[in-house]
Amino acid sequence: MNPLLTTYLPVPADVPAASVLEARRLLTILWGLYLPDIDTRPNSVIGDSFVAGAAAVMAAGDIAAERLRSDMDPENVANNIIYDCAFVEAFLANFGVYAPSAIGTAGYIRLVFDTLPAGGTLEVARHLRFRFATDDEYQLRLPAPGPLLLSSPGYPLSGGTNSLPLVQTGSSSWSVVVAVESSVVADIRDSTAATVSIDLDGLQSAAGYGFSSQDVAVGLPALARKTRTTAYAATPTTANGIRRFADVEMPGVLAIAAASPGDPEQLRAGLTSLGFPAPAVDIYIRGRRGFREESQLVKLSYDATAQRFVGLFEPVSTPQLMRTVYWEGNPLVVLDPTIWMKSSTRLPGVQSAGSGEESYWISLPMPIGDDDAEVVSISPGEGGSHAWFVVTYLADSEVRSARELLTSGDWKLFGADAAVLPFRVVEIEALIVHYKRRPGTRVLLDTARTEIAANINGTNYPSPLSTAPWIDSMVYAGAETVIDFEVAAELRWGIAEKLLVEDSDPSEDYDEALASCIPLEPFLISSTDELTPAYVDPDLGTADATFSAAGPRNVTWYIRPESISFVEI
Amino acid sequence: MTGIALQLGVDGGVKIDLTRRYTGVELDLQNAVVSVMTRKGSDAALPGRGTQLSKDIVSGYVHDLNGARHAANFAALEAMRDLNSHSPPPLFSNMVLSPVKIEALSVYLDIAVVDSDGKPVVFSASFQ
Repeated sequence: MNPLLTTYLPVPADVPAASVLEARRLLTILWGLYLPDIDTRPNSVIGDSFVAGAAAVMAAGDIAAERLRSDMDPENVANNIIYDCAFVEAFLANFGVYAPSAIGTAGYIRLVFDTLPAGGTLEVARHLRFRFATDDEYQLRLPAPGPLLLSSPGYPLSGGTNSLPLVQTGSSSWSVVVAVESSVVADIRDSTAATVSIDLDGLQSAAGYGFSSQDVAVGLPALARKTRTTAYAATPTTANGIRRFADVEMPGVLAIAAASPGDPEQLRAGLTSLGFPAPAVDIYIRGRRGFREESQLVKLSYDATAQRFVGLFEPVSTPQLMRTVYWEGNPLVVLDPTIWMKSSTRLPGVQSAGSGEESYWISLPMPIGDDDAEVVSISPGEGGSHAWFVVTYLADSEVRSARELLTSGDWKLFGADAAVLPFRVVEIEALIVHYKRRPGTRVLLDTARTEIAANINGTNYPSPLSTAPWIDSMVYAGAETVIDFEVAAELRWGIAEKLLVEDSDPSEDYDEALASCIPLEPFLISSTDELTPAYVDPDLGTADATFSAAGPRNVTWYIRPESISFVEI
Repeated sequence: MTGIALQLGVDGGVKIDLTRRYTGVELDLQNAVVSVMTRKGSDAALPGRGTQLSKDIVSGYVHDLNGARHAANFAALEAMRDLNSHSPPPLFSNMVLSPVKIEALSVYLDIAVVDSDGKPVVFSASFQ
C-alpha cells in the first residue's frame, strides 16, 4: 500500500470535527461548480451517503499532507516531530546529510610488526577485519580507494593512496596506527588485543585504543539540526563551509577552524607574481576523543665523546604536548631531553608542527650519577652504540584522519594549498580560584574542579573561552562568590623547543645545528584575559622567523583537573 | 435543486430509490423526515443534526399518544432548526408532527408542512 496512506493518514478519532466540517464546506462548493442542482445538504441522500464520507476522508488527507510537509521541514524534525523515519532519512540525504548511525563505534588500532615487509611495502586488503574478545568486527577506515599500504621507513608514500609509514618503536618492532570503525556499539577499552581476519606478515600484536561509541550525534532530529546549518555548505569551499563539512563528514572531529589569507593566524599566503595573495588555507582540527597519552620506544644513538644521545623521533600519532622521556632501563633516571623540529618548505617554521610534514629529533645528555658514572647502559649495534628511550606525549589521532579525508582526491580543495593541522594548545599549568564561602556551608570543590576542567578542555572555536562558566560552576558547587582567577599557562607551538634551519641535522652535526637553530619559546600567559592570545611572530620577515601566529581560529586549551586549586578568602 | 428519493417503508426501513427524483418542497420534506429520524449526536461533524425522538421512543419515554405528541413537538422544533442551519434553507418555515398510532416501540406520524403556495403537504411515516 502507498506509504502515504499507511503512514501519514490519521485514524478517524484523530480528525477534528471542525476539520471535517470545513472539508465538507469546501467539498460542497467544489461540487456546486460541477453539479449545482444536486442537493448535498445534510439529511439529503447525496449529502449523507457521499459528501459526509468524502469530507471525512478529505479532512484526513489534509492532515496527511500536513504531516508529510512537516517531515520535509527540518525544524519540525529537529524538534522530534517525525511521522515517517524512512522518508525523513531519505529526504535529508538530499542535503548530503546521512545517518552516521552506521558508525556505532570508531577508534584506532595500533599494529606492531616484528619484521619489515619484504619489498618495502605491505599491501593490506581493505576487507581486513579486526575482532576483539567480542564478536564485533571492525573494518578499516580508509579515505582513498584501494588497499592499505604500509611502507617501511625510508620508502616514499604514494599520494592518492592509503599509504602509512611504519615507525620503528623498538629494536625489532615497527608500529603504525590505523583508524577503524564498526556499525555495532561496543565498549572497547584501551590496549584491548584484537585478532585479524587475514594473516599479516610479521604482525606481532594489534591493540585498540581511543574507541568511543555513539559519540556522534545520531538520530533524525540531530541530522535535521545539521541539515539546517549545512544545507548551504555541502562542500568545503568557504571557512564556514569547511566547518559545516566536517560536521557532516567527519563525526570524530570536535572542532574545526579554517584560516585563510588575511586572517592573522595565516602566515603562509605570500603574494603571487600578480600581487594577489596566494590561495592557502590552514585547517585546524581537534578530535572529539581529546588528547590521548601515546608512548613509543625511540632509539637514540650515543656520541661517547660528547656524552650525548641524538636520534630521529617519528611519532606514531600527531603529537600535541610532550610529557616525558625516560630510559627504557630505568624510568626513575632524570633526563633533560631537547626536541628539535625541521619544517617543510610548504609549511615554514612552526606551521609545520603536527602537519605530518615535519621531522623531529630528540637529544639528551648522558645522565651522570653521584659516582660520576654514566647511568644509561649503552647497547652496541648496527650504526653505532645506542639506547632505547620511552617517549610519552599527548596526541590527537583525529588530525591525521581528517587530513587524509580533506586532502584525498575527492574532497581536495580546489585551487587552494590546504594544510590540516592540530590546534595550537594553550596548556594551563595552574589555575587558582579565589572564592568566598558562606559561613556554615560547604563548597564541593571536587565537583567544581571537574566542571571547570571539562569546560576548558571542551571549549573550542568558534566558542570563546570565558570565565563565566567557571564562576557558575563555583556558585553551583556552593561558593558565595568568586573573587579572582590566577592563571599560569603557556601557548605551545608544538612539542619542539628548537627549530632547525636549512639542512642542519643534530644527529649529523650537533654543534652546527645548535648554533643555527631558532629557539621556540612558548608564549607565556599570566591572566585569564590572555588565554585567547592574539600573537604574530615579531621576527616575521627576518632569518629568525618562526612563523608562529595565534588567534581564536587556531588555539585550543588543555588543563589537567589536578592543576586547578582553590583558595578561600 | 434535485435529490434522489428515499423509499420509506411502513416498518421503518429505508431504501434509496435511484429511479425517482424529488425537487422543491417534496425534496425538503424528505430531508425533514431524515432529520426527524436521525438520532441527535450521531453525526460527530454536525452535532446539531437530528432529533431526540427515536431515543425517546426506544427508551420508553413515549408510551401513549400524549407522550408521543409532546416528543413530536420537540422533534419538529429540532428538525426545523437543523434544516434551517444548512444552505439553502427549506421551502417551508413550519412543520407539524402528528402522531396517529403507537404500537409497541413504533410511532406512526403524519408530517405536515405548507409549501410556498400555501398548499399543505403531508407525509406519513412510522418511527421505531
